[in-house]
Amino acid sequence: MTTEDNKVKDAKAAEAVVDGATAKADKPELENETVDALETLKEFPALIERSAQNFDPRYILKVFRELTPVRKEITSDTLVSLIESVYPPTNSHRAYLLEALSADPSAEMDTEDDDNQVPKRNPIPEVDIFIHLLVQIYLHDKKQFKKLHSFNKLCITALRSYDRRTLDYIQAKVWYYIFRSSELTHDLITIRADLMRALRTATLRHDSETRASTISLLLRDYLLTNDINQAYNLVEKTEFPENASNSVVARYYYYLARIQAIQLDYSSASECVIAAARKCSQTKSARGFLQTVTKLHILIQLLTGEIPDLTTFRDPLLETSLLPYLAVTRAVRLGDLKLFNETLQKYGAHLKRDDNYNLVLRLRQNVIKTGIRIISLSYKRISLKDICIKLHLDSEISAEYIVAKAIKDGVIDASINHKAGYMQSRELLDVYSTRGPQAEFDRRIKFCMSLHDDSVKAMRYPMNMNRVEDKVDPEAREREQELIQYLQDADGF
Amino acid sequence: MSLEQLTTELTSHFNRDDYETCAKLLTPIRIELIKNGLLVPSPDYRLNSNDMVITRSILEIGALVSINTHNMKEFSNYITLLRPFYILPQGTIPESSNRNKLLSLYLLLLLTQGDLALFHIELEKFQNFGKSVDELEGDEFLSIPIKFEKWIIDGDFNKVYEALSSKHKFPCKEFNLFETDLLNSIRLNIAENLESAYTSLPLENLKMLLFVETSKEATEFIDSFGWTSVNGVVYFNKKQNELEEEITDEKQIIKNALVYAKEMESII
Repeated sequence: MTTEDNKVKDAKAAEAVVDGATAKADKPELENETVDALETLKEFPALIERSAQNFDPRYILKVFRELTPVRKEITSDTLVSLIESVYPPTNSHRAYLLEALSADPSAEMDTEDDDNQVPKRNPIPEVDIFIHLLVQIYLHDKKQFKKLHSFNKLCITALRSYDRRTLDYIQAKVWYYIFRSSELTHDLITIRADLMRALRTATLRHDSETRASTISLLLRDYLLTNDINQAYNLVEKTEFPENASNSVVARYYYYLARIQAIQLDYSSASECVIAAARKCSQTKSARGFLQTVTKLHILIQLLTGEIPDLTTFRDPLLETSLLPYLAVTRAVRLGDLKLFNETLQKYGAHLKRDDNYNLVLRLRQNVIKTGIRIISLSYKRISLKDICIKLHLDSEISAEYIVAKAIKDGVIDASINHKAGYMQSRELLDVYSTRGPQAEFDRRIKFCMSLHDDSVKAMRYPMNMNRVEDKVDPEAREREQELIQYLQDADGF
Repeated sequence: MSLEQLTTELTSHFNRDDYETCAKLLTPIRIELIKNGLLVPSPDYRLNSNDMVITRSILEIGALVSINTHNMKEFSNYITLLRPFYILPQGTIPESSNRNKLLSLYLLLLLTQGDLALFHIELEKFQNFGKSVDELEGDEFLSIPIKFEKWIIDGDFNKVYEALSSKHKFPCKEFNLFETDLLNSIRLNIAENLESAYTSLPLENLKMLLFVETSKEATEFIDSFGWTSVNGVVYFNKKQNELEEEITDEKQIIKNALVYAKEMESII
């Protein structure tokens, strides 16, 4: 099925963004790759524990960064031995985790290396959930979607049993895979309740990472089932957390753009789609997402009567996938209805697969708009009759209505003289005689300044370091004491 | 009265086009449906497919009755109630022959309300039936609202008017009920367009462009939009373009420059 292909492709795109991967393991040395993977994996629990103790998400983020290169080398064996090294044999999660990996939970792994001691205490929640995530990723990559789907139910129960802020980052990713398997097993309706509940809990706990993740997953769910109204209601009634990670923000903006484009709100859609393209990571791994975004961007530009830059189509990363859109753009630019229909015939299946077919169909109407725009740019004054002939309209009255509508919509800046029966374009104003550029300049400077301020604020200082210094520096403390003393004395008077 | 009796009575009245009586009957029927838990399709839909077909046809009658009695709000409610029946997985119950007719009536209603956003959202929903917009255009019923929307977006109001004034073309009579409403809504549209496209227009032409017959209607329009009419010529009192203002206020520039300077200083 073609739609199926697309969904898989689409998902890969989304996933790529999720990982924000930079490095693809080029050609790993074949011999000790499993050992390497296992060693890297075994470092993770320690890092996560450090993160949990210090309430600092940096180490978890580091884990995610390092996970991407080893991800392809994870095998069920490595995972099994990781689980054995983390969970004590009595732990309840251990059994089903091993079962999900088709390993026999009762059988002791013949541990060849003796330093692999059996742990005595239960792992901390963060590590526990992280192991869940690893199993999810493994099942997902091995395309065992049915198994993943049933495993997810256990994940949800495990997630509900914990309540720790340091879980937020891991939890957000776990939800992504939970949704992904529902999508692949075509179970989009029942998952909604779970996502909604997760969103509610995350909102109450100010867990912005999970909140962002679940909102964008819900939006995806609604869009996949063409439930635009629901999606719109969700956007209206929730507030997207500002400090979510870029990949989630990019997806959120893309979904937002889609919703707005369907609602004919092209100008907001255009802003959102540009934001999505900018927020998404510009590396090779996010190519799929970038393609999808660019496609939508092109269509929105065309729908607003603009012609996209030719360089957009020349990008080597995007070139082949954008071919149908280039053809559509050509037809619209020439205002040629016949060419447009031919293009639709030729690329219809492709456009349907991209879920963009209905939007492209709307362009048929835009062919007229573009025609009027071109006429108004090239003629200072033209009779309605000539417009009628040029655009193949039925009657002069039709032409008059259509031009009037175009003026109202701001497609052209002109006026109609009814008595003489012509349309007159208005003189172009010299914008530099107005306050416009000044205001724009001001806006941009302010933006740069706030960017500077934000970066200063975002700078990272190691925790508690200041306080330590305070203690070390007795002179400063003395001075402070003196100052307090002085102030108290001053109060007395 | 039992549900069965009520239903037979409803059908017989409906077939005789007696909408008033139908409307009275519908309320107790709906209460009965709720009592029996039939108003919404139950999750185990394989069990009572026959009941669901009956409920659906009752709701469809309800929708048609409300539209014939010009109760548009009620009509929207019925569409909302019907929707779960229409989106049941294929094969659970036979497809309704009234579905496209009712949905296209609903689309027309959205057009008269000028809610184009919702109109397109509804069109997207047809993708769940595996239909894209150009396939819908082949449908006897659905092609009508889609064509109208196209003309409205294009601004080709002439065509809308022509289609509306030739009454017998529609496949069912309910479509004619929208004539006045739709005309009124496009008139408002046209009036707004005229306001921005012309500086003045002879009254006769204005009447023609707005599809109004009498001068009285035209004057009402002129008054409601705040235009002035002098010697049979209508002047649209347009606001002047705001862009044309020249830079007169240098203080603002100085103020801005001082703010920048301050910020720069704090950075350095």
